[in-house]
Amino acid sequence: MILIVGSGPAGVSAAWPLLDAGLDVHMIDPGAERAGPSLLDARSFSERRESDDEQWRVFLGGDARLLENASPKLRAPEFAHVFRGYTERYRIASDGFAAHGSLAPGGLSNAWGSGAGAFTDAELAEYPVKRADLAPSYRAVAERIGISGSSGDDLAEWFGSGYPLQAPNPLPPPLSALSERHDRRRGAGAERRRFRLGRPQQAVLTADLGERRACNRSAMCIYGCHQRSIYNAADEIAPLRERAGFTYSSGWFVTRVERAGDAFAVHAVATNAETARGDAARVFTADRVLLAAGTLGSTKLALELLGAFDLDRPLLTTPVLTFALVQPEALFGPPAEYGYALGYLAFALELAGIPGAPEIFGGLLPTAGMLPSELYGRLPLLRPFARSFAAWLWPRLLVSASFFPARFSANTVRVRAGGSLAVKGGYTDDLRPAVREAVRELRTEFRRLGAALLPGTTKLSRPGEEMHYAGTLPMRADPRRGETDAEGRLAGTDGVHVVDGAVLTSLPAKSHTMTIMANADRIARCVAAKSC
Amino acid sequence: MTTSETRALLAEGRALQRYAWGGGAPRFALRRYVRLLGAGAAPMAIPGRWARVPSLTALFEPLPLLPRSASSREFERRLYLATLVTELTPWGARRSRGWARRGFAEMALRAAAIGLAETLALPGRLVFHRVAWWPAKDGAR
Repeated sequence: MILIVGSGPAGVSAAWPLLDAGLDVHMIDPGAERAGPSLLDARSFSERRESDDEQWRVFLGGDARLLENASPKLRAPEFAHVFRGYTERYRIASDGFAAHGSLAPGGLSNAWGSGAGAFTDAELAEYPVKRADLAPSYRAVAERIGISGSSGDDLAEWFGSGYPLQAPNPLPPPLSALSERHDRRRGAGAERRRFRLGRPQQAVLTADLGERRACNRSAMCIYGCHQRSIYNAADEIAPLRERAGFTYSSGWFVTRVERAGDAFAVHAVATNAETARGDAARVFTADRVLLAAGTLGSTKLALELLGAFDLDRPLLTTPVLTFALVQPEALFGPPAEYGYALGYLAFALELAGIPGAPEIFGGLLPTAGMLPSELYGRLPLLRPFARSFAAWLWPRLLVSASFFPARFSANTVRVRAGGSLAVKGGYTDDLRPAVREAVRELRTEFRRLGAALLPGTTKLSRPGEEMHYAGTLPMRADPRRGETDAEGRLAGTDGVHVVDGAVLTSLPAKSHTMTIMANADRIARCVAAKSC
Repeated sequence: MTTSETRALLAEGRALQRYAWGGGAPRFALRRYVRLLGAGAAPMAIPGRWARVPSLTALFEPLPLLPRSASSREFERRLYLATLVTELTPWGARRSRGWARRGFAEMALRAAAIGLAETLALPGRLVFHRVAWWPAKDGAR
């Protein structure tokens, strides 16, 4: 029997190949559920805004956390339960690091920004596996979760191919103008250019898939998708439970894993009233354990199993630069009607002036589906004036979140002997010059396309804020203590595999969730074939 | 701030919105509301017919200017909350949409006028900040 700790994207991606091979799989998770019913219904963002007297419940909520300066997804009331209790349960002590995680079924995918894409061989250069090893798994994941994107634009090759793509959401006029200008410039220049623009690959359905419905462009993406068009691993638990050999135990938080003879003992405590009615603590035993508790959770369990309390592990993150763009032509007409809020366009930019020519990646999001109050605090104006001006300007803006590769992150994580997890955040010294270079280059590139980067809107995130955590237990061809082999097997153990972001060896700017899922699928196939 | 405290703030914000914008031009009414609060009235005790301000002169009557305290962070938060709550109503949405549909020239003219008016009414605005910081009175629940 194989035990999977965690029901996020990595956990469910590992479960399917094991079940397909006829193995018994037992999945456990803490099962943090929302306190009441979902706040979502079929109404669109604008319908809610214009007719719902109680709209504050879905846009603001009654939780003080929602007033914090964090990304809108992190503040959305529908997702409050997704992030609740994680740092307390894992006893995470952060120093200069925004540590987030999830105890909910489906993990962080409940609030996923949906960025997809496959790593290239160049991006896998430090990995003990190649793109060809991952190719069948990328295809399996894409077929299972549904990816939308373009297969013929400037970014298609960059994102990756070899798996099915649904058509992307239609591009509204102001953005199609931007895209067409880029295509004209691209057609005119024969040389390889450092700036690419195209449609993003996203785990968003534009055609029905199973029980999930295609995007209806209600613009509620930030606050929760009633259609379930955006992939959420929690949606896969029900079909998994219909499979023979699958057992799901929700409401158990794993506190430690230890060897017990030829097997492993997984100690857990009850987390909700239902499970706590019986045993408050329970020990699960298994021949093999697959850790998919999220990078921070899996790292804690793995390092405690090894007794590695003295080991500082690097924690990879992708620093985020946010900025706003405006198309001057949009200022003089009525605002465009957008029905989608997760990014119509994406770009990749190679920073030639920085050693190693790192590449950054960003998305362009319309402000549809976000309140103009997001802008109030950023305007250096008297507040009532700012409110009116923001209401006018906001729907004419594009917002970008641009990711830098993890080589610019300098975070560490360490398990203390008492069981707490100390996370220290930081950036490398060369991030600031890279940010300056990126802003300069982006300003030029977008000006050529007829858009202006608004002065004063650039902002670098705090370490960890983007929730792209990886690389604490990296896969190596010759793993040392605190590392894993090509099959995610924790060095020094025989039977504990790590299948989530913790095993990614390096992290490019590109979204990494699909690679986590494909890698989990690959490792599970290997375990199922008993070849590792 | 605890959840119950935040809920109390939300209730206060909604009470403010209900009373301040019961009729008349909302911005003017809001200032009137603030002045009543400054005179010591509990939010729920303010009668409903006060909302329409009789004349522009009344808007710019000198108001007691209260100093910012050490708890300015808290009052900023409270003010931000009040701003959010007022935005999160069908009225707030229609108002935002109205602004969004204005042309560039009209926006610039109106914005300049508002900027001037707001600058002239700065004392009142500061009183509003100050009042917003006060702990919610029982009647506001």
